[in-house]
Amino acid sequence: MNMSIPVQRFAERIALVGNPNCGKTALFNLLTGSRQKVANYAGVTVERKEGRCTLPSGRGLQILDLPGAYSLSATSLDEEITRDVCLGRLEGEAKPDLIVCVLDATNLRLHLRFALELRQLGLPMVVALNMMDAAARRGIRIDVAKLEQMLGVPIVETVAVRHGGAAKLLEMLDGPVPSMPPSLASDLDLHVMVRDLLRDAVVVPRRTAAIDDALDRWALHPIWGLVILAVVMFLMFQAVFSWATPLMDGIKIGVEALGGWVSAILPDGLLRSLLVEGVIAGAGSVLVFLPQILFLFLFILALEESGYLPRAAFLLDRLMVGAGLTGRSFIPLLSGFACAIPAIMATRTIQDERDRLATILVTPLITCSARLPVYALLIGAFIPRQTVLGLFNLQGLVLFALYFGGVVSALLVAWVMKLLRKERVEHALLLELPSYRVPHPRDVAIGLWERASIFIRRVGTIILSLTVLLWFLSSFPAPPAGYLQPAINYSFAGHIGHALQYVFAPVGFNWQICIALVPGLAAREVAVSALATVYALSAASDSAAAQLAPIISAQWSLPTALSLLAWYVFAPQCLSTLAVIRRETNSWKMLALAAVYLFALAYVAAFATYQIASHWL
Amino acid sequence: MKSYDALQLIIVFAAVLLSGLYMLGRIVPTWRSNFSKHLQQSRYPHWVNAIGVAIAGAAGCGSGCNSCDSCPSNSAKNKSS
Repeated sequence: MNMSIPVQRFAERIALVGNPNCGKTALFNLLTGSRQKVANYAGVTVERKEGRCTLPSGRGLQILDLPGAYSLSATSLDEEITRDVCLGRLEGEAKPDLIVCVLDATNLRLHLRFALELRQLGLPMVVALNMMDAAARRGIRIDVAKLEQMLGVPIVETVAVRHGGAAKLLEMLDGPVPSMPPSLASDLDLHVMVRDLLRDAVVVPRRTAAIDDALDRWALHPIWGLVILAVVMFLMFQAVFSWATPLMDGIKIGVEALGGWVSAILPDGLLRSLLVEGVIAGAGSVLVFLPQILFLFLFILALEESGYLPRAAFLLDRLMVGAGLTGRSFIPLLSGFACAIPAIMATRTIQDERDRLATILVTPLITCSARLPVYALLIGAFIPRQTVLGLFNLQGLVLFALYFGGVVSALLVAWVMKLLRKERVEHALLLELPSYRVPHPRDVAIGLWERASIFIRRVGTIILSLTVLLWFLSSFPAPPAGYLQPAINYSFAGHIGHALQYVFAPVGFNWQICIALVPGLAAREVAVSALATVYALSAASDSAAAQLAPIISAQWSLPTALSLLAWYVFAPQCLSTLAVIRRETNSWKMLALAAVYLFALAYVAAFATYQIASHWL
Repeated sequence: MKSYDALQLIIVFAAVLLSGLYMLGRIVPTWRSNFSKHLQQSRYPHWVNAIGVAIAGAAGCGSGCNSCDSCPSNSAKNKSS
């Protein structure tokens, strides 16, 4: 007698799929121990991420975290990636053995439709009913057994933000792959089926949380909403200057002490010069700005977690559309306050190609955190630390004005692009507003730790390397005996700086600034370390190494400082940003356009600032 | 004092060389793999091939990418068909 025994198959590769902002990446982080960025708005993940987890049995499992999608009929680049992975169309990527469809239990009306569409693929599937804690708090009752029966796939409850919140899912993944779900009728109306599922298996007391409605009455108000947004942003920049100062002073004292100690133990020579005037003066001068960067990110992370950002996008939609962008551009532009690279990648969520291109081209104008050390140095050196109207920190006000200037110039450039565009179709903004959430201190702390690590890694790698190279170029060749000027004038860097000064004299830059602009092309904050090294090598004593701000305030005129600030608002002094523009647009022409227009704007702005300030100040 | 002068020259030279190679990796991320392939050609002696293998081994994650997102192996998989 021939009996066929079904062979049990175990999944080796699974994909987390679902609507945006349902907690896929939080689940991915929980399962794999990764620290991928999570936030409370749609469109955070725009690429596929890969990780591994060990199941309770000890077996390894490969996990793919895919960008959120509303449907397999993709309308944006990030949705295309999800569709292609699920359909096995992505080159070099096998179809997953199992799909874990992640659903937000508080928003099943929207999320179940995509679950049904995924189910039609005929792949083995498990549903992770996520955010069950939030659903319980809102009084949403889900008959899981009934839902499981009606959907025809196994369902597990998860709370991705809680330690151990995916234990049941892990158990299920450890077992054999569930059988293929029975096929659905091809002419099935998914919306009708969602309605049936909700009617029979889910009880929702009210569609939205009462607290969300109450808060939205203020946050989405056409006038009060804008006032709240302005106050939040204003407070953020005040805090960056007011709260960070004691910590910055502490780091400054540490850097000075280290420089003094190394000077004391090493005899005069090349090695001491490299360490004191190169490494400590250069890298140390940038490290000082770590507290300000962390305070900036404290606000950004809290806003991301709270669910406020999509509301701000909604508020600014009319302004964005007027400038030729879309409300969807807001989140990528806001990410630009951290770094232009993920911001440009986040434009993948914009469906219209022209809107996406316009957003990519203006994103470098948004003030990224790498500009902060340059701004903070110049503001600290030239703007007095005083209170305005008995309430506001003047330095914070200037910083706010610089950030605001970046945003205004981005909108103006987008508006000019809109004028040049032949096609002027405006797309309505369709945006999902998530529930408000109190930022979890642990998540914010992890986010801050990540930012601190990234910044310190940058200081220890790219900034340190460029500082060492600049020290070399500023120290060699050594001047002949009897040379009366500072030795740096005779060096390679000195010659480069003096040559570039012909180009930058009309904007008020001296040869030291010109030297700093060259390594500053790789990363903006390198300009600070470069200035510190150049002035340390020009100075008569070692103590000058950690005193950059007093030196430049004594040697530069105010118009020169303002001109340099204007230059940094516009100049694309970041090779990585230009590289990512090339990659995301797949066009050298767009890269050239971005570089030329940004440098031209920077030069014109610096020139105008210098000339006006020279006449009026 | 002469030995100290020699030592500091070696340290400074090494620091400048390593910094230069690091920045080269940032600007041309593929230089290391291309150079390693070149050194592994059969026309070179074994010891040169061995250096090529060592250089290839030293490449990989963190060898010049800006971030995991811009790593060539990842970004290739993130392009839709």
